[in-house]
Amino acid sequence: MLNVALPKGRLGEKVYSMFAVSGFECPEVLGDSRKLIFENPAANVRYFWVKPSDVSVYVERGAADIGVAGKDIIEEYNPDVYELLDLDTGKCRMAVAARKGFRDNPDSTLRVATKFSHIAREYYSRTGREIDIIHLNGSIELAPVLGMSDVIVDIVETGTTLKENGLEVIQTIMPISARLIANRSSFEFKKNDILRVIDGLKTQLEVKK
Amino acid sequence: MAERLNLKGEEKVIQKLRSLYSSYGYRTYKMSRFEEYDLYAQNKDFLVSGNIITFTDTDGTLMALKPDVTLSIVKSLAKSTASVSRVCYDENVYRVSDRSGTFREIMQAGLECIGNVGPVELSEVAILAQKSLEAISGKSVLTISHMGIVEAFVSEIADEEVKAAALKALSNRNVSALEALARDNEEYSQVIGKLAELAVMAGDNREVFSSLRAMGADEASLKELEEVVSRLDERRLRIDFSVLGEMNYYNGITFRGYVEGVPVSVISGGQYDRLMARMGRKAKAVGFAVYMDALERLLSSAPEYDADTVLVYGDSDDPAAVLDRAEAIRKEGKSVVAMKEVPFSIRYREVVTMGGAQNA
Repeated sequence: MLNVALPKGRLGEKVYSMFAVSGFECPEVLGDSRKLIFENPAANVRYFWVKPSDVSVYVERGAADIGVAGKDIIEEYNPDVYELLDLDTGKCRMAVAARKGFRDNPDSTLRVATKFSHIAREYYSRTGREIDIIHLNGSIELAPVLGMSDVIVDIVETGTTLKENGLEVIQTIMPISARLIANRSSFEFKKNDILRVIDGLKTQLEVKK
Repeated sequence: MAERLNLKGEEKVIQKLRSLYSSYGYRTYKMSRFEEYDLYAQNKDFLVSGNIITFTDTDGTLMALKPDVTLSIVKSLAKSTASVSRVCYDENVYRVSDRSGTFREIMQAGLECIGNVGPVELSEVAILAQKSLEAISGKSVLTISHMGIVEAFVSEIADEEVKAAALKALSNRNVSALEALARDNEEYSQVIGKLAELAVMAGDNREVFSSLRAMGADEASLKELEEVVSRLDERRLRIDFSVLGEMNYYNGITFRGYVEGVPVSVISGGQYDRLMARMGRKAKAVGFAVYMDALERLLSSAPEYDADTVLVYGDSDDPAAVLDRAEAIRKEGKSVVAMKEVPFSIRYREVVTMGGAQNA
């Protein structure tokens, strides 16, 4: 039985349909149920919905053999997993944003509000810049507006939220998209199923191109 | 026998490993729990985790609780290169566990083969790694690669940053990252393309070796790998170039072992002549470690009952009679616990009640 961790939400639903086309169907998954686990013994697959930022935990610890996680989560938590495929979906970017007209004063510590502390620290350590990380769990855009931080490091999709709050992107850190990840041990013992998933997804990605 | 001794799963495996290693002439090596901190400070990258518990000895020397065994063994063995020393160990080491982020005492077993290491010794150690996996579980896989092959390719990449990124992508089987690297660094696109080929290489061993030859892989390394692989059980073996050791330490074959039901590798090892050189040794060395902490869940089988019999006695019972009665039941081969009342928290097969308890 192949255990698949899907991120709750639109991205997960989209990715599930790609899995279904690849021969790992389980129609119940998209149903309007509060169940968390869905199984289709005929296709030898079991899906479960988890919080997007937890997918890599389930996969790293082997509760899920494979899963779909954003590159942002992989970079932030650095799980010990295989990153097998770029699914070319859920695309956005990790960026630094600040209030319009913001001028960085390199003479003082830069206050950075973010959900992605590790990514932010890594990014600024490359430039040797002294920073003060303010870890927040949501509504990051509020921090510079209230003057609590100078900049934010966050995911930017369309930039609408930024614009509406008087912020703008000043640097792009990295492009983000959804990735297929696999547990290292499961990869050895469920290789055929996992390779079938990869082949199926790859075929669909090529058609899309 | 093991059942009667009531050994825990890990202890049974340790016993099996000990007798396996001694049948190959490995001698058990028992060492002190402490080591001078300097030894680890100089070789931090060799350790699974860089965090070490330190304390100051009575003479002011900074000491460490051993986070690793290999370094101590290398340090303590004579510098002779003519002979081969074979040592094995099962010891507690102290390091930060990846997940909890706190220090833990971790049982680690393993072996080191140090000295004039040649094809015989390399094959032997790889065979022992595979046999160790068999001792742990019926379903296991040893994944193996050769640093020489990977290194010959990446040596063409002069830019250290690109090189590090390429190696990281290879160890994660991240083909799309390799493709992106090749696009961004055209001068290296050919060699990065070859790494991408390595990352997805599949098929039986013969196919893998012929595609490696076709790619122009380093012939000496290839031959060495072929020789080792030919001695291993092919059904439980995969040639896998995502198995990469730290290049400052490992040079030849490297391998990792997995058993079904354990999410992380349980065996890791390889040839580490470079570590030897860094420690001023000319000898070669190969070895591996078995991480017993990873096996805890797989091997632990909680007993169904805490005791076969609960002997309930009262205040009016003669203590000697209680002890005699318990002893008599024990003679029948059952485990007995004597107590005044049966708590909810224990599970037992039967209750035997003494006269004093009945009256109460």
